Amino acid sequence: MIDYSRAKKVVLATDDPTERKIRFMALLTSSLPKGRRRPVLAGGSAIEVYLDGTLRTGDMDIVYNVKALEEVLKAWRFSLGGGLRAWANEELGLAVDMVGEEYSGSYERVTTITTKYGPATIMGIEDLIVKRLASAKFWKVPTDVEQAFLLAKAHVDSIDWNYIQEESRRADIGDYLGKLKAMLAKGGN
Amino acid sequence: MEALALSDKGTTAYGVAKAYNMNIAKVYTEVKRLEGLGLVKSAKGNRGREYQLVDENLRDLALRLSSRVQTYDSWRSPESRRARFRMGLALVPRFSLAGQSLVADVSQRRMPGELENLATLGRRKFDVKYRRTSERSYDRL
Repeated sequence: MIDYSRAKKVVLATDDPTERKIRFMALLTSSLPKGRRRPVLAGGSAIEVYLDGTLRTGDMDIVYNVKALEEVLKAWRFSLGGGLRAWANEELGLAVDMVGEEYSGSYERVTTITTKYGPATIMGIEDLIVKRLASAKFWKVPTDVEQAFLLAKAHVDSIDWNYIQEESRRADIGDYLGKLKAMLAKGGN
Repeated sequence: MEALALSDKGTTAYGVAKAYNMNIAKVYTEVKRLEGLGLVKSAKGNRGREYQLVDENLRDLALRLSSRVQTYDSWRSPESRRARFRMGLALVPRFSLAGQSLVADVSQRRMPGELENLATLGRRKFDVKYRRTSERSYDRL
């Protein structure tokens, strides 16, 4: 495992909050056992990466084996923050929400960013869009439609629309996918 | 400032970031800055370092300037009640039994083209930072 002083030095060497998260994910991946699924950055922080900080979020939702992740976080001086799953390190200015081992998206569609500190795995754009649309429909979070639009518009050339269509049908959010497509056709207005 | 003003006991930077959906690094930076200016004091709490406003006048000012819509839980908390009492407020916020809107309509809040511009900006920044090496792989430049 990479020792804390090294992790701290690497993370704090940049002022860019999104870059800090990428570096943290890369160091974390390099510190965890090889030969199993890598930790995946999901949720708002993943969107933040795809839009490179145009949207900012707080804690990082990480999908991985909770016990193994907890071990690294403790070694890196994280402690339980506000919630049951949230660990924070004030010195690094980072907070981690352990969302469990079960990755609800498609591993084939995750994005890997290779850094000099290791690889950082980010939830696939398609799954993020589907999750945001589902959240907008079932939890009535209007800004989630905006986030789905921002992702779709910014990365329109790298999206597997057939996959989104199929997942939207399964999740019963076809109406919200239609709404997103209408927004894309109108330029977001 | 508002979060600190609403809390009599002190609150962690993480708690502020979580409650206000703010960037945690920025909150840490800001509370440290306020502490450096002597406006905030900190002490070790159960869940990390807790911050508290030092000056009651500053607390009142922060609450007067605040325009955030509070959550119901936050509004009914003892700290919030005391803060309202101090400010002499007797107004009760409007409420409705009609439930949430069935349509997630955000169009009223945005300028025409605003979202599109944000998406373009996000993509430009992403392309400056990362080079695509295969369909779903990038190198950090």
